Amino acid sequence: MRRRSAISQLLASVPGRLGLGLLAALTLVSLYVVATYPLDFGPARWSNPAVWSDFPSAVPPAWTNQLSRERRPVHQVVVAHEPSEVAAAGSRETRVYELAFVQDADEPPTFLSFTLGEVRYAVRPPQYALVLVRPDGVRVPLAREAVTGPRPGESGPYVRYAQTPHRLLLSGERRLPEAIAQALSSIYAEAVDAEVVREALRARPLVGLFGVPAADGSFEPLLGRYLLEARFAVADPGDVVSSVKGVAGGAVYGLFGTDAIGRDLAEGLLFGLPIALLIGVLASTLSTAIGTALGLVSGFVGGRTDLVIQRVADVMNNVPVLPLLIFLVFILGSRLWLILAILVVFGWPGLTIMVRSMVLPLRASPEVEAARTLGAPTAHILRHHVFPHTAPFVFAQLIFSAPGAILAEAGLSFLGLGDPSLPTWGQILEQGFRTGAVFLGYWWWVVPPGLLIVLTAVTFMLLALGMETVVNPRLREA
Amino acid sequence: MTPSLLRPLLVRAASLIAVLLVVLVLLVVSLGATGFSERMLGAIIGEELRALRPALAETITDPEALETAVAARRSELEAAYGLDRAWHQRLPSMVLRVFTLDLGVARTMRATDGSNRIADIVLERLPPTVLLLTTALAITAIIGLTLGVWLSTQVGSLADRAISYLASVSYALPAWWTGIMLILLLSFQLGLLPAGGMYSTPPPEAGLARFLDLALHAILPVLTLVLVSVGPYIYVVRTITLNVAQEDFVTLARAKGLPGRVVERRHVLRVAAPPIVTGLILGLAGSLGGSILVETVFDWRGMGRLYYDAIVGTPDEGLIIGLTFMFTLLYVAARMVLEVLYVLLDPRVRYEDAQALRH
Amino acid sequence: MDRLTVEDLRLTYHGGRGAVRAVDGVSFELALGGEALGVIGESGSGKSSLARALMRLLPKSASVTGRMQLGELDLGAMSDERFRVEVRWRRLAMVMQSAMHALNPVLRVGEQLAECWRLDGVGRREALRRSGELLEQVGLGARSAMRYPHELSGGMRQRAMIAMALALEPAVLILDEPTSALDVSIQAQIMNLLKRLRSERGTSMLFITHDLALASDLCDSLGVLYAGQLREIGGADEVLTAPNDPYTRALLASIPRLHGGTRPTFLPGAPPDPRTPSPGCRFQPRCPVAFEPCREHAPALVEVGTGPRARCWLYQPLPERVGPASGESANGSGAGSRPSTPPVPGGVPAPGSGSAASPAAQPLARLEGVSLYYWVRRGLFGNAPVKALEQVDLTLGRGESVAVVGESGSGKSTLGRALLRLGVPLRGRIVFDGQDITALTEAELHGFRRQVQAVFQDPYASLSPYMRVFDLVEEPLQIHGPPSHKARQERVLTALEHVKLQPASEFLELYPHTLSGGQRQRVSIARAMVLEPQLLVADEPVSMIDASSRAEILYLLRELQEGRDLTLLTITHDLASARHFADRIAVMYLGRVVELGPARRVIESPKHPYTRGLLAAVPEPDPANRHQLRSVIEGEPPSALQVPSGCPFHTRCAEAIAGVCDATFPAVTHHGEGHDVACHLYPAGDDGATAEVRGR
Repeated sequence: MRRRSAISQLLASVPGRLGLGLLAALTLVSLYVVATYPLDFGPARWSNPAVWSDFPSAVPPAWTNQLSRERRPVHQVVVAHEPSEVAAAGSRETRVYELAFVQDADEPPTFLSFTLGEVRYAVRPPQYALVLVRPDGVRVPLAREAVTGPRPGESGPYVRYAQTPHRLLLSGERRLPEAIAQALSSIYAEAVDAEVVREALRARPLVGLFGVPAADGSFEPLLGRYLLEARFAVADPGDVVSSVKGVAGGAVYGLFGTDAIGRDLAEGLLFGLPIALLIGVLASTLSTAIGTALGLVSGFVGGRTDLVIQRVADVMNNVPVLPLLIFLVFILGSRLWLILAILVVFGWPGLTIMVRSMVLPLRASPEVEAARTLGAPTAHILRHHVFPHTAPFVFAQLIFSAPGAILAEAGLSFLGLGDPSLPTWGQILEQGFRTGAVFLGYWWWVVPPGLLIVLTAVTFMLLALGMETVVNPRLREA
Repeated sequence: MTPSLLRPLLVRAASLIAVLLVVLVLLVVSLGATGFSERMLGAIIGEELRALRPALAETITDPEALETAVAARRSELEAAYGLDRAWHQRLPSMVLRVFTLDLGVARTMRATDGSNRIADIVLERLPPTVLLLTTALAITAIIGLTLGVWLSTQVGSLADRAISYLASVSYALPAWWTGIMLILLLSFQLGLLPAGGMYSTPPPEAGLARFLDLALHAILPVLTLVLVSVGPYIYVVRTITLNVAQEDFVTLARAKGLPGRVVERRHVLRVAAPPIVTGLILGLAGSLGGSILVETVFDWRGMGRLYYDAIVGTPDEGLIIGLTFMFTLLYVAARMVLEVLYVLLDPRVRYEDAQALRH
Repeated sequence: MDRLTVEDLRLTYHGGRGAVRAVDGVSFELALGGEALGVIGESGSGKSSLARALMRLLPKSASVTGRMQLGELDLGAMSDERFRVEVRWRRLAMVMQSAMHALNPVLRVGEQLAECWRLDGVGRREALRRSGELLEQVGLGARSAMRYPHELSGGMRQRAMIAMALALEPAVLILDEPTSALDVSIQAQIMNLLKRLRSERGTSMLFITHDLALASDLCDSLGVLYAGQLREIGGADEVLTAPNDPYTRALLASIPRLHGGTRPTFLPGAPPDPRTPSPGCRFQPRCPVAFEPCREHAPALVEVGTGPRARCWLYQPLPERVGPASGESANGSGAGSRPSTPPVPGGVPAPGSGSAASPAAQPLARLEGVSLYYWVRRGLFGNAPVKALEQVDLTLGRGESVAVVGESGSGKSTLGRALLRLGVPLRGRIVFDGQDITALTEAELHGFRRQVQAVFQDPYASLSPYMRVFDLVEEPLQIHGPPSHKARQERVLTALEHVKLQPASEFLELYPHTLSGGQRQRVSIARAMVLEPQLLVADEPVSMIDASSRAEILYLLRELQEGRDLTLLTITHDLASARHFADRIAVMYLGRVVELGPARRVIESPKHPYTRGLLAAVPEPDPANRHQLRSVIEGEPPSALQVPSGCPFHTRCAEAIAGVCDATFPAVTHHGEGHDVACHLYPAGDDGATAEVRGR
């Protein structure tokens, strides 16, 4: 049987084809991630809470709206760079930015925030007022602030909020319930008891901000277009407000939802794919290469070399890996390369023992004897007359050992020993487990990472399954 | 036991003892090289001195003299523990220390009787882990054997193909995630089974009720361990049985007019048994790792959960060392049981020499 | 009288790559009560499928049609369960080819035997007692019942298998190649045992084998199977003395005879692919007398006069459309025009001129007192030597052909390995072309390796399945040969032509598994010859090849040897072919050369009792065989780990002299024409001088 036919055998079997297809898909996605994600994605983005402050925390994916009768608000982010209206009065200017949101859900947004980007002013700090204009015309004043003033000894022009944009959590303002109550009383005063409304608003201000009060103190959602109006008063026409951003927090988010600190799980899950493939491919390739090389040498050279390799392999092969992995990573530090190195160090012996047992009969085989009588050098014999016989098996083992490495890393991460600089599926799950996502029913946090681990591992398993008839020709006859 | 049985067993035992030793040395070397052992011994000495101080205070009243006495005692102890020497010179005593679980006291963990000695804490957690592991292993073996043997007669059938896919999925399932899924589904969604712990609160009185309560709590963790290990095992059993069933002596047994089940039992299974045991041996390491994670998920108060507790929060090195060693010991012990079984099952191992005679 | 009747048995395997008709319309009768029918067929003839069809041991993918009747029982019509209870082992029992694989490795032999009775409700103790009894009857001690199969030798296992088959006293015993894995002397013992059992118990036997000569040892009638069809069936005497079918004749002619002048011939080509049956006679492509109708029409199996029935157009009315007028072949015109002598296919070179010049005159290679041991582990720590070669002297003259003959464990292959310097001797010297190569390193051996090449027993195993024919034959050139690719290509083509793989260019791209056994072995030879070596060591070069094709390879080797002044050392267990293809024969036993001499002398006037025993054990296709038991060497060869003291053969020698043979190894004596013997029976040679074979 030739090498070419090994590939065609793989393609001929259903699991082989499935596996190859999945592997191609996973590889493509990984390439996309590698091309588009920053290298320091872990520390700079994923583990940086500031990045995720404008994200709703622990909300399910957006598509869950399709499954339930209730419509939950989606996450809305509106950014404006230019004012929609500028009114000049002498050297002073009033600039109005309008940020429009659509409320069409049965619940109000989970939060409302406003973020001010870089501001430059010459002398007087600009002032701004934020008002929510509701579809029914009610204007709810939300905040009134001034940009941070000059510090002692500082001279203009002054630049503010360049590094960290200034964020106001409007829905968290203490005065908000009162402001809403007053604004609502302008239209709804006759219909409802102001005290009841106030009482209800104290508990859930956002329901009132986006709703019409009813007599019993509840609110009917008010659907339609809302405008967050930001009115800036600047002292000098040369002063610059580079951008304003309004966020209406959703109760659902994206394809995969968010975790407890608002991280977009889709991003983390996507980033985990190349990492998982890297772990699987690197660990299996290295341990297979070492295992095969040592097995060939051990079986073929024999003598003391064989004895030493076999003793070492026998012992290493019988070490229970996970406890030791836990121990070493704990002692030596959570680094991905370290985890990989340990997996390789304990991963080769099994293959060495098996390759050796395949080489032993080959060593005395007529084919090898024949090559020896030709005077062929050992390297030539190993390459042309020994290795080809083990190749299908080695290839299958290469594939077969990949999921093991992926699962081991995931297990380690689950115990809190994952490499913190690289978010992996195991770590996402671990955070979910540790923060009680399981008990709180945040299924979108714990199901997809596991499913992805299974999918990746199954991809390799399918390939291994497809290789079965190549490795074990006896099954082909049956 | 005859000498012919002894030899293969001795070879295996030697290999397993070597495993134990290598793990011990590895533990101690990495502890020494990273300075952990110094800190650990320092903590042990500190503990002793703390206990000593009040006793000394009763006889020595002068605070300065007391300090001198304590300092003297400290350097005495440091010499005794070998802290005055380089870590590699301490290796043998450290190995012995780990071997006897003489690892001092835990930071925060306590045994149920209040002891904070690591040996007490770890040993107390051994039975639940053994219980979980052996139950899961036994169930896996039974299911694997039954289904695997049955499948070997159905090669190429729909069931066979379906199982080979399921086996891949089963192998690809992370144990802990499977546990989480089972909790989500069976505990929270359907409310059928407890989500964690070993006993209800409050635990039932001793006796049958207590046992049943334990069994109820064990269902999910055991199910998890079985789910992740049974697939590959079925597949292994099927393949081995299939290979044996194609041997000439099975054909001959049929030709002899033996009924199908006799052929299967005496000629197929009896011969397939040793490699099937090997399959179980190979799966053992996986199950052991799996049990660590599964105990964590289900808050099963065994060594695995202890591992997790020792890692998260304030890490406790002494506990982690002790647990790593105990897990290795547990593995080696389980291996030995299976190896004995293997040697008993396969007369051929006993006669390696006789085989060599005919090269 | 009751019979086993098989009528028009057809068996088809339905595999993934199309249906294979393994047995195609086989009919025969076997009288119960002691008749023996031999079914002879080469690989792929369907003979094993036939045995399995009778026992209903076929895989699910096989379908069977035809009638099988045993006495009153219609075997085909029975349910599986009834067949199992009433027929299997009770009426039909079988002995399989490979006793190593046919016995359960984890059950004691006695238990496996006892199983047969246990089903009848016989108690365990009684069943074990009976197994002991039966084992004694087949020549094994009752104690072997307590042994595991791997503790028994091949011959002992085969005896145990036979004992097992006899357990329920079946009417018919099916023997599927029962001796093909055994040594000649053990084979002869087993054949004697079968003969004895047949006459004592009146068990009928269906003896399935590839070896026509062996079948003649036991069988009253013979059937010759080719490509799933019986070509000829009839009384053994007629088939052996006056075969009708061209294939039977070719088969008979291919058997090397120990005596007489006829040299074995061979059949070119290979059996047809069973997946693509041709409409004509299946043997036609290889048939030396094929004529017009053979290509298009399949002949039937018909009576030919009073002789055996044959399936050949020579003996039956031609199909209508092919009249004699249109046929040009005179052979086909009538049934009577049978060629008087068996056709000799393939050009047979003239017998060797006996050019055996005195080897000492121009020695090429010499083994001097070579001892070679292997070490195996014993006990907890100890090692023990396997004494593969002990004090062996042998000189190979330039251009001569020497055969080393012996049974397994005799050290004959080790001798070949020593000469190839694949093993390093413990004592003694190996001299090649005047140079002592005993202790050279692999680097220093480079030039030697170029001069000495080997052909191995199993062309399936010695050729890498991952390399094309071109790569295989080019490999030696890559190591030793010319650097230019073009020059190498030319050398490869020439080498292939020399071994008659023609046209050579068509074989270059093929992989070995697409070739027949004979073709593969020729690739091996081309590979060995491409460097134009001086010495070729051929280790059992034909034992894996169908009998009818063996002579082809042997002639090829002989031709190369004579044509190029090549020295050829053939290692073989086959004394009869050694006689035809070697100038000198060396007989080995347990690491010693016990007899050495010109081929004719060793065969015609053997001296050593072991040589005589071996010769007596060689089956020849002679109708007289089955009326007598062979005189055989008793017992099993001892293990090379415990070589008996003195003459190692004394434990099995009928003529051993107590106190002498077990004390010292005999000195070698000369008996003229370079005929040397190491045996105490011949204390003095014709000149009394020490000879090439040395003793201690």
